[in-house]
Amino acid sequence: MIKRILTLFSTIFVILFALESHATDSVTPAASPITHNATINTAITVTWTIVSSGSNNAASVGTFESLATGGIQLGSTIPTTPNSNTGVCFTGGSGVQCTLSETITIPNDTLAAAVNNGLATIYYKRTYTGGSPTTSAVGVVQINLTYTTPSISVNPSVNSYTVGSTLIIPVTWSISTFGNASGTPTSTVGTFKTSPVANFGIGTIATTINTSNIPVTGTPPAGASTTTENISIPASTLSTLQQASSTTVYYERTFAITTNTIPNPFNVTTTVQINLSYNAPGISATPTATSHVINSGLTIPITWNVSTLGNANGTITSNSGSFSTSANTGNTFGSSVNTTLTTNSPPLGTSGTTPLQETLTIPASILTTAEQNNNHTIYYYRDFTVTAAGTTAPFFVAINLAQVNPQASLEINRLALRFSDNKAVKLVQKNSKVSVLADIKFEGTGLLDAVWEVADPTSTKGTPIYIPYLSVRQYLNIGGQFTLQSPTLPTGRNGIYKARLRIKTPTLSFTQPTITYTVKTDSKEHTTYAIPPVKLYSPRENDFIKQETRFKWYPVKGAKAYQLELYLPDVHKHPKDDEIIDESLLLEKKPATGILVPAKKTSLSLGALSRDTLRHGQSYYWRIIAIGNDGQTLTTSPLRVIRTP
Amino acid sequence: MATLLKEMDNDALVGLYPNKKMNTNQMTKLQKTLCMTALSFLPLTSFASDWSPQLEQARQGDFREPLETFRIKIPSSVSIEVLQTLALELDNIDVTAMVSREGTYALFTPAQPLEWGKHILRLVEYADDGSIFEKGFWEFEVRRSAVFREIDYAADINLVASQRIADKNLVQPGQEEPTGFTGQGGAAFQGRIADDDWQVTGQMDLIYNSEQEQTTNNQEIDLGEYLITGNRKDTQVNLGVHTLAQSSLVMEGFHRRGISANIGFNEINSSAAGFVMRTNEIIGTQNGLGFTDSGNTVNGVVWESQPLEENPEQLYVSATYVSGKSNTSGETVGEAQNTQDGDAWSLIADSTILDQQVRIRGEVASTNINYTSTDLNLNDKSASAYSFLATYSPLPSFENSTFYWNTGIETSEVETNFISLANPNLASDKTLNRFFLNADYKGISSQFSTASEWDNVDDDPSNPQIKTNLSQLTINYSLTEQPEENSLFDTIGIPSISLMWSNTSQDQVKASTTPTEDLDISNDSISLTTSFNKNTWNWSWSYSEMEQDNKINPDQNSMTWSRALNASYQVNEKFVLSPSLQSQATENVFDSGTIDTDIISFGSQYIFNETMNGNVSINQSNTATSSLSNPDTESTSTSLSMQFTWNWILPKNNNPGFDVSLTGSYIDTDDKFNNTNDLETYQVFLSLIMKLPLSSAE
Repeated sequence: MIKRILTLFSTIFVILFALESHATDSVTPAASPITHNATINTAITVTWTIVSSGSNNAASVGTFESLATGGIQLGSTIPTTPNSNTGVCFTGGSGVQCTLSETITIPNDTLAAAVNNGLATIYYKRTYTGGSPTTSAVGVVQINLTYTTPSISVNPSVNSYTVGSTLIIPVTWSISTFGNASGTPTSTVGTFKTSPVANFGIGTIATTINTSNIPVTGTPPAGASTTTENISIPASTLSTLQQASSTTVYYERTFAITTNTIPNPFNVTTTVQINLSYNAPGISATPTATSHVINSGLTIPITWNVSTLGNANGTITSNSGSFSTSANTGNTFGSSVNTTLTTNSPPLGTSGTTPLQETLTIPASILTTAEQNNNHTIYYYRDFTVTAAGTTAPFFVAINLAQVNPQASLEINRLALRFSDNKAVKLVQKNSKVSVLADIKFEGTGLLDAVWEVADPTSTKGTPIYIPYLSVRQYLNIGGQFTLQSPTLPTGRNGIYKARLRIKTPTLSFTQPTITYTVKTDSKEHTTYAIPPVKLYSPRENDFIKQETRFKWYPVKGAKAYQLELYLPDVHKHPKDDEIIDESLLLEKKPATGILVPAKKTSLSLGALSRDTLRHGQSYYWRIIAIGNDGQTLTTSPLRVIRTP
Repeated sequence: MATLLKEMDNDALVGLYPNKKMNTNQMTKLQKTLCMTALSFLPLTSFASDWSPQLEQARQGDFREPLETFRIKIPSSVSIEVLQTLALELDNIDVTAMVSREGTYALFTPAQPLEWGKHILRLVEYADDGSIFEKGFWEFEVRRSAVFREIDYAADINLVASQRIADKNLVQPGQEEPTGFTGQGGAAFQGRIADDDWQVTGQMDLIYNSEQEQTTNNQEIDLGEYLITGNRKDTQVNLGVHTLAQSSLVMEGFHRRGISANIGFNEINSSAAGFVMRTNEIIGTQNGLGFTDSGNTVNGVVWESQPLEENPEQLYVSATYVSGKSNTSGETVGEAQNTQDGDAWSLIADSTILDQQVRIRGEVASTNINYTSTDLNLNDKSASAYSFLATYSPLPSFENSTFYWNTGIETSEVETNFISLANPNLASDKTLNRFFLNADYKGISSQFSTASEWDNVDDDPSNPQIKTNLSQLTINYSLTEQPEENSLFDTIGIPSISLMWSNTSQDQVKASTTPTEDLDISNDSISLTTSFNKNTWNWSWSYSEMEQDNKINPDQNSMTWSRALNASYQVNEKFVLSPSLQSQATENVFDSGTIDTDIISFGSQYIFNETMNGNVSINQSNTATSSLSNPDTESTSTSLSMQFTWNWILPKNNNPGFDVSLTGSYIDTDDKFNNTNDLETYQVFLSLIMKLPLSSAE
């Protein structure tokens, strides 16, 4: 029974509730939806139509929400009560219909909240509440938001760029705004692309640039914000473009703009089109003309100089050289020189001249042909292909042919280094005397400019560092052979020495030889004191032995005795009277005579016993050796020549 | 007689009794008196006292030890005047001054160990007239034992281990960094085994460098030079690197790896040698024997003879034949590669006659070569050569003469295609006539020579002929007397001065049938070199001028000046300074070009104490060129190297020693006009050095 009673009351309550609801006011907007330009954000007029259920109607604040029903509130409210067109909406009785209109401006925080929530549509709502009975109705205006965004342009938008010649491309970036932005638009990086729509860049310029302050914030009129940039294309980008054989590149920048009513920051992007072009490489040669003596066996050193204007990328190559009877390719004759010359080009973006050395050997067939045709001058030419930059024009080197040309430029065709005892390698004691002989064969006439250089153990433990030791200049004429002796080379440090005669002029057509000697300490030497050679006082070099001749020398510390030794070279072994004697061979023999004296004496004369052994008309070599307490040779003097009458 | 007495100077007069040395003047007077007396009565007679010395037997009986004292018993009856006239000679060395007395014995201990083998000791007496009488003659042998005369070995090993502790810019970007830890070293080994009539000796150098790319053969351990020599009586065999002593137009200074054998024929005073040698220089273990690569060997024979037994110097003859092939350049040789094969022979006659005042030497030679280089192709070209030398060295015209001279002429001709594989440096295609004169007068010596030379010996009409005249004069002076105290030379050092002038003129005397440019060039050079010496320091200064005068192309005229100043100063026994400065300048006419080179260096060495020493060298080189036709250049390199060594443990025989060393080198190259050539680099090493002497010596 109770259950039935409860059911009955419930039914009655629902019916009454339904009747009450049916009596609620209704509100509808004048127009819906409204399309609104949020960038400009002008005022919006909303007209509400209210069907009242009674008197004493009241309007709530206007709110902006994300959904028509429910949703979140967006930004500020509109507190103002709309004006009444008819004046009865809030005082009239039930069933009265009135219209209300209001003009609102969407608050910036509402727009910002809409942007931040990714909303293109927002809803403006007001709630009207009737007084008796108390019922409410919600009016909703759908507002579709639109934006007028900032725009960007660049001038000039299309540019030309000659690789290697053009250093910069000046452009001006201009950003137009519509009052909805402020501050300083900023771009942190510029990106090179192979097309405006390419996803990936092929290089960047990581330089932040700012345009000028946006002139006006808020309402229109809009203003322009500008900046200039000097675009320099990175070498890596040029390299990529050259590898892709691309002649156009696009430079893109995106500026971030601070906004209040549109997505913040708002990015604007545009690109500059750059059309690439390349200069052809240049060429010259040194010498431009030279002489060649037929059958001399000599080679002709030629330096080809290939100039590139920063557009090279890779190698410079010439696969062959050819001969012509004139300075053009139309008279080419004979076989080519199929020697490839190649080297790396300067890096992309770097202009420069690259030398390529060639040691030209004129084929016998060329010489024969030239001789048969009575060509006294022939021309040798090459062209070079530079990766990405193109091919040079052919360059011609004139070669004057002669049977013998004594006036030809000096050329060295043999340089042999040997020690004075003819050895090619040497292991020597510390502080001993070492000198090197350079046997030089040459052709032509000119000045030999060379320098003796030595790398000592302080560097030969790693990378040899050659130190200039003695500069040598010598006029060499019409060809021949001569021997150049080095000064006494250093032997004061343990380890490996490397010596060379570095010929600065003329240029060698072969690898510069070096000679190596190793200095070691006599392990039996128990003192660190360097004992210099015995210094001789008299007689001087090439003196004659006379009865009163006294051999004098300076004392040596620690000596117990001195021994004078006279050596006689085997004269028949030497075809010339002034020939340099090999000292090491000389000292292998026992002395012809000599005298041993205690250390307190530093001079002596030859006694009759010694003089009796000397032969007339001979050149003897003499020296003093200093003998220590243990019988060891402390040091010796250099050899001097003394002659017998 | 006075002359003979004068010969017996203070040293000789000391004789065997240095402590009883007589006043020189007194002795001279005494001897003069004695000799004058002898001269008066027995002018042609020499006297020697009648006695005999006795050499005491060696400790080992039949042989002696290297440092064993000689004890010579001299009869007590020998007067002191006679003793003053005695002299002792060991192996031609007068050792009288080192003889002491013990009772009736004269004692002599060798100052240095005597070599193994046979030696000769002589005791002589000077007679009053200067004649020498042999009072004692002893031939003895120094041996290690009765079984072997000697058997010795020795090795000297140096090893250096280095750690690079700092460096900069040693390699170009992208190149591999050099090794941080490196090792170098050298070892010399030698051994000898011998008995009375035979011996075998060997020596070998090994060189170690962990930096293979710096070695000739890209090997860390490589062979330097080695030589094994075997002798038996008059026969000798050499295996290894050695010089063939023969010097001729077809073989000169031929120092190569290979094998040679020499046999002496004493009965006819002759010898014969045969050899197979590497044609070119070779280093390392490759082709270790030197004669295994048939494409690069020279073989030949040499016959030498001095057939005049009484006066062998009056005639020396030799014959040489060589044959070989080559297809490479040698080590340490830079040249265009070529291939050649051929043979050559030479005949030499050499004589010194007329009391050795005159020397006459003649040689004829011939070569046959197949030579192929890049452009030149000589197929079996034969060529000949000859040389002739005559010198005259007169005896002094009078006693105590202060004027000496000698003169000579030389003529030679080497045909155009004269090429011998055993004499690669001989300049061919030359005819030479030369005259020389040397003189010495009162301390001033001079050498003068003048020569004329022609090329195009074969008179090839397609080639011009050039005549070269070369004259040289050198004048030397050295102060041989001690300068007076506080005099100029006592202050600045004892001078030695050399002035040299030379002129070379070259003229095209015959033009070729094909177009060639004429030639007429003259080169003059004059140089002055002075050096001044004191005991603890010396310095030298030199100046030279060279001028090239090209009469056909005056644009090629040029002038070069050189100056150098060197000094060395031993501040004390621990500290040595050695600065030097050199400057060269060349001016060319054709483009007003100049080349200037200056090198300044400064070396110093300091010994801190018995175990620590250091040395520092600083060097700066500057080269600048300027001309109208080329851009100016100027480059300066400044370098510094230093080494400080601590002798940590001293080596002893068969026990290693160790040093610790800090070394560094720095170079800064500055190109004034092209900074891409600028480079600053340095490297510093800390090294441990091991020194190990090994030997059979006790």
